[in-house]
Amino acid sequence: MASKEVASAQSSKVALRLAPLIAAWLVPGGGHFWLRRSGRGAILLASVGLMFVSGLVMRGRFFELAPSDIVETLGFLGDFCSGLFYLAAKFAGYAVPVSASPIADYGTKFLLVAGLLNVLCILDAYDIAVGNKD
Amino acid sequence: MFSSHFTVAVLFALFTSAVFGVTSKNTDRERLHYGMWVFALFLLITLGAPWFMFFLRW
Repeated sequence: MASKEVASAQSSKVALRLAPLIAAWLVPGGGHFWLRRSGRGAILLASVGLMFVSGLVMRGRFFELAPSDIVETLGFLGDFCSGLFYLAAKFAGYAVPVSASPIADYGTKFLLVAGLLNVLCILDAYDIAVGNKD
Repeated sequence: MFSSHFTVAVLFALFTSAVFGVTSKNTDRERLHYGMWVFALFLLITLGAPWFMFFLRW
């Protein structure tokens, strides 16, 4: 009986720590909003969101999942880390041909780095959730 | 708005330093100072590295 209660408490602790991580991936700063750090969440949402939108405006391209190309696959993973921003853009049909334009190249980098910055946001949300930082 | 490399570089530095500042430090004051420091370093390197390479070729 006692072991069941301990297991139940541990599983609810894991769920509580997973929830801000999933929120942080879905929405930049979402983990911070979940953990009631709204100011920081707003800054992260604005920064990562504006970076992503700037990438779209500059007509950057998304990387595609290509098992034979490690660079393309890593780029896809980076883009995917933007969460709902990426999913919404894909769902809306955003697609641009590969372009030699330098502005479009900047846009591609902006889209990628937005996802990578969101990884930092996820990790920060995790640290706050487990009590490593305030 | 995105017509020049410098504008794009400043925007990149601004967004990145904001995230670095918020996620790296523990107090609001430290976050602000660190974010500004990272932003300044981004600009310094963006402007300084090309000049360094310009004189290096001599």
